[in-house]
Amino acid sequence: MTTPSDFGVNGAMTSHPELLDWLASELIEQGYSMKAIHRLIVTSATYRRASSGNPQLVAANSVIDPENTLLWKFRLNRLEAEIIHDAVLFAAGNLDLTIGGKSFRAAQIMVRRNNSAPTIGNYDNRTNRRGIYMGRGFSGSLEMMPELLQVFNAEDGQTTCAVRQCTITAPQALYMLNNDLTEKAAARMGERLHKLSAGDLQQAVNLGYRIALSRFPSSKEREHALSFLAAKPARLGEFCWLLINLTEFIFVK
Amino acid sequence: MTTAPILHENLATRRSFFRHFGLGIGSSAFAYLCNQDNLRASGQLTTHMPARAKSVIFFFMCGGVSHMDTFDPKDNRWAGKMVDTTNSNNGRPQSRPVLYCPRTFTRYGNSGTPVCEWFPHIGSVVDELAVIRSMRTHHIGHFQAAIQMATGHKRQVFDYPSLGSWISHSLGSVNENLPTFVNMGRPSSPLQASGGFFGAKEAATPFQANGMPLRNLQLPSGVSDLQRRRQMDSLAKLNEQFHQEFAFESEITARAKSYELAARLQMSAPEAVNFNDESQHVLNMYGIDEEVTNPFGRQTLLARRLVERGVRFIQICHGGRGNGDWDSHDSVADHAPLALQTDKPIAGLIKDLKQRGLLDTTLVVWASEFGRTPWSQNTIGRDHNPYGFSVWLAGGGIKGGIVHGATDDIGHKAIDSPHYVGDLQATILKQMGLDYEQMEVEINGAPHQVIEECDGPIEAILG
Repeated sequence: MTTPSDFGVNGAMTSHPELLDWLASELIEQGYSMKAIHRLIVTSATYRRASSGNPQLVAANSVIDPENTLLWKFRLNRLEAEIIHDAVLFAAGNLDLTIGGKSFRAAQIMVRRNNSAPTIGNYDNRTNRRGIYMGRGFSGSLEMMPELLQVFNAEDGQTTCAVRQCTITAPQALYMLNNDLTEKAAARMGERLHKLSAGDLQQAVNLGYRIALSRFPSSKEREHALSFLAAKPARLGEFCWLLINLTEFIFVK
Repeated sequence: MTTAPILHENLATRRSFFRHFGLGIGSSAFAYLCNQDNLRASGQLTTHMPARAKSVIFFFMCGGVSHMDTFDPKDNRWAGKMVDTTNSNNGRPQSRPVLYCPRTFTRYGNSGTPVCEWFPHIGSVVDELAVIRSMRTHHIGHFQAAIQMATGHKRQVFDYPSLGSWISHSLGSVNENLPTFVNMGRPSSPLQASGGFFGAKEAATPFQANGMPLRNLQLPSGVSDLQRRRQMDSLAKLNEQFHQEFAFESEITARAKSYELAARLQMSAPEAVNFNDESQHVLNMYGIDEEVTNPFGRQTLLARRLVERGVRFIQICHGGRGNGDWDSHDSVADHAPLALQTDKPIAGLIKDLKQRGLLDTTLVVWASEFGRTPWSQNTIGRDHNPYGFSVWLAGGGIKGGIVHGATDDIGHKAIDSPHYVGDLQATILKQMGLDYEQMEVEINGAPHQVIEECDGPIEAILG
């Protein structure tokens, strides 16, 4: 369904009407439990498909169904703004997982506040909380959207948003390359790897890949990473910056 | 909330492009990054009519400039006499004395267009200017009026894109190394720099005329060029496996290209803001050699340099703090220092564009969210006046040295050829080769017009 907020005459047709009907009746059957319906979906064979495979088959399927309308593969997903924030801090071992409570203000908004009058709301001062607690919103006179949320397409709540846009832009790349968030997290993650691997760089590389990408590096990747490190543990922070900037880091496959 | 997939549509028609866009599918990042040439070839980025201007420089004076004290002189015949009006705070009828205006106006150039003593430099280029004295808008509040001036819509309930983002969306980029819509200075409302329903990709890119022009362009402190180059080399190698495996996914190609564009921006953007190759006499034209005009002068010179590099829409906001520096309720004399900061740079820009042969293709617009009232609120300042105010345009096919429209005897309401701000926007679009009536997008199945209320372009000022 490409128009989830419009099932009317102007909306698109769903690709699998019977499936959608069945899911709807299952939802009712399960007493409207979102958890149950999510479990049903994510444990399905369709959801658990790989996002790539035999190159020849992928090429053939891409011709037949380039949009993946028939769900022949798992859709490659770019992470959303908040999740990128969380993934970066998690890799650094610095994510505060507390549930609930007040929002926090992104550093950039705090700076903005000094030269403008309004004080809006009441904020938490822990800025390493999960991205969903990052204050955002819309004000006619004050920029309230943190840069990270803006560049990665989070909505400001001004209008209803059934589906977020998902663009891939140069300002996003610049953000990941040069922003303080990634730089500090990379340094912190480097120290973390150094400590955990007790100076064994090969182990540090393995661990870095596991933390950042949930997998071991291929032998080629490990080799390259080790040559990048050049036996200098001081370069672990730089190496972690690489991991955070990998395309694989912000895509779910 | 889930993210929408990026589809690689065969973008056959403008219509279908808009329709797909309207369904909330972010195909455009992909289009922007990978498909520029295809789009152009398929006629996506074409104009509706021959364009007179290639770029727009839009000066926005935040807070509301008094038109009676700048470009719309009134004699003091009515000074001190009572007029019946409405209290802007509570909407009740009130009777107020017309404020005495102590400005002296000089008729400049061959046209003899009068300009007040605060803008002698703009006076010296007045033969290039078409002054419109009969603008009107709907809202009396700063932000609503600023939003109307930027978006052409008076309702605040929907996230309408600003004019710069419409132009950027419709015409695309000329220079792939720089953004198409740039904002300098702090706007009154973030909506003035917003891409609205076009999303972040059409929003203004904030540029600074001092140091680094863009955010995140500079390496974080403690990172050396050498180190970053080493990292970038390794990044390409470590990305290889994943990029190869998913080469069939447009998003992955787009991601790789976004890093390439970022790298090019890091090269080209600082170059745009590096004034070393400008001669001293040019810097002086913009007042960069003087402290009071330096900040705004740098922005205006950067605007010219961005025009030369193909940026479509450059918005420069002046005095964007709180309600806006030009919001002179207490004393109209508060305008004086603001005029001093902007007069020389603006005139310098027009002269410089002209001597380089760029003025013909560069539309310069000077505006504010509204004008000010003929009376005060028991001060020597003026209140907000959405019923009549002045803007001016220059270059880009505009007839110079003319005055169009008029307000009444005291400067309250536009009476001769009144123009809602939509007419100004339609004029800007027309000079860029765009017909506002043909610009429509579907959002959730409903068509949306670029301008909500409009009598068409202001033909009287077009050359």
